[in-house]
Amino acid sequence: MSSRKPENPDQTQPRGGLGSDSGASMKRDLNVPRSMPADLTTAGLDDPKTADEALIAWDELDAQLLQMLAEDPERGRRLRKLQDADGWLRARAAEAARKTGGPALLDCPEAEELYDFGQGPGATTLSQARQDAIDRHLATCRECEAFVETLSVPMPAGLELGMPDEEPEELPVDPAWVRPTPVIPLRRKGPRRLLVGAGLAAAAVVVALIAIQTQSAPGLAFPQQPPLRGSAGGPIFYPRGHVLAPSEELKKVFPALGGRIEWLIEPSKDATEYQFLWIRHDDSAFAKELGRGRFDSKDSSGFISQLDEGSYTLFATAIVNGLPHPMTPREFDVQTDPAIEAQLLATRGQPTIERTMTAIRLLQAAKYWTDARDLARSLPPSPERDLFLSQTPGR
Amino acid sequence: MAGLRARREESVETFLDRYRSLFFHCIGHFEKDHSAGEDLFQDIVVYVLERLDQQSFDPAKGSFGTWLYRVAWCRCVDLKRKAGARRNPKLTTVGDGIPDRADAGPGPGETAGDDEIGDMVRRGMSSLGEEERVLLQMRFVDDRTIGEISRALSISIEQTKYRLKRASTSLRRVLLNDFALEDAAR
Repeated sequence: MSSRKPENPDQTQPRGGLGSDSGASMKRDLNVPRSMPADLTTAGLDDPKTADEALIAWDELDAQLLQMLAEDPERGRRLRKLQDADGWLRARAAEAARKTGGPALLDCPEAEELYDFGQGPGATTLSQARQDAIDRHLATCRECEAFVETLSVPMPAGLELGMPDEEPEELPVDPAWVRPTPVIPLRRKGPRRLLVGAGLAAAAVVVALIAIQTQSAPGLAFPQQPPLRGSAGGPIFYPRGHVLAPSEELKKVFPALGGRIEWLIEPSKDATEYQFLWIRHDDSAFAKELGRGRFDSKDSSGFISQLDEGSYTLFATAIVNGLPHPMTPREFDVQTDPAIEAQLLATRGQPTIERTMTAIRLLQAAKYWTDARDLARSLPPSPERDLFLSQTPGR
Repeated sequence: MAGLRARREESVETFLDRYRSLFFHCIGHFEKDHSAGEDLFQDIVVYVLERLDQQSFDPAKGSFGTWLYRVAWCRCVDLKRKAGARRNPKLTTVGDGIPDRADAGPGPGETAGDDEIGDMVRRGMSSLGEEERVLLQMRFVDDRTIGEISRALSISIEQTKYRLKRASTSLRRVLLNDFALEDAAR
């Protein structure tokens, strides 16, 4: 999975997140084609088409929806057949794994190993042999595969992951007279727990509503995209300008930076596929090539793994009726920038949203447009944020 | 940290305030039901504090937050596995030893029911495009890792995963269509 070593000497290892031929760039979903609506409800199952989509995505449904499908005479039968088909495929994988790697491959790995394999935050590196063994096991075991998939979901930027040297200082040290309170009383059992839970849920809804209302306050002042002329706009919108190669320190403050690079092109009418080639060069008059990589996609947006520092040209070709239609190439460079780093790190003490907004404005002003969009995507959804992300450079 | 280990009320409250979202981000992957999610949260907090008491957090290895996420995620996996095992117990008669190794007898493909399912899947796969069929074949029949498939097809690992998922979805769509045709023919 995402923990593999680089497969292609020209290209760095993708650091998780969305693949280049994945879905729309503005979603924070799993890197998989979703075949069912994200907001599917039990009422939606009355629609035969929706029910079919739910059946196709049966392994992504919550327990209640799955139960409803299973209890329906017709759909339940089809569900069981689809599950049998999945089981049959995995049994084939198990047979093959047993022959090549022995029965040990069928044993589910410890959770810690799965975490490292899926490259969760702070994961350590497994040996290549162990990675391969777990990878083979995942073909045989839907449950383990599903566990690992949860680790490919990007961590929202607002979540506190903390830095080791900050923790002891920030947690308050109480005076000695404060009586220690055991955590065990947090556990509540029986009806009281349900009542308290219901009360908490109601309070949470109220707080969430208030939060949603206050979040749309005018504080989210996103910068405007710069007006550009001619081909400086499309058809390759991003990446463009500078792309920041952040330090590890900066990535701890802004985890959304440095993990991947967004690409976005203007969709071509009737294009069935887009082919891309990036070339890294020395930016001299003769642009001596230092490396290259290819990818293709059926979508007009996606992500590529973070590239090494250097100057790049991105070529894109739309395939229309089987014929290539080259687009105007786009230049960009991946670089470290101590000055912008210092400014971004200086925001560290600010609350998360405010810090992120400041960083977006700094990055946008310094022509780190792609990075500014990465940070914007890490913010909670809002009309202002979506408007900013929907803007494309141009006249 | 000392306050947390001593279970001082204010420290515990600060800890819960700060990391509640982190825990619930993790829990959200495993539990959709709100009430069950709250129960899981309680369990994880107790478990994390126990691990903290055992000095299992090493600041040299990473941040406190990433350690917490790791512990919470692993706890969720362990609890899900336990719950799954309770729902689907392995039935053995009294006196039966639990085999150390997988059954070397007839494989699943050699039973009549599996033959029927196998035929159904094979028919479905034959209706897929070549790329999708090859991907499923490599992954599930040829015992190839994602890395091996990506190298064989000269595509990235992320693309390989994405296309495998797409192939699996296509297969289900074909099968569902076949079921509908079978039902209509009855």
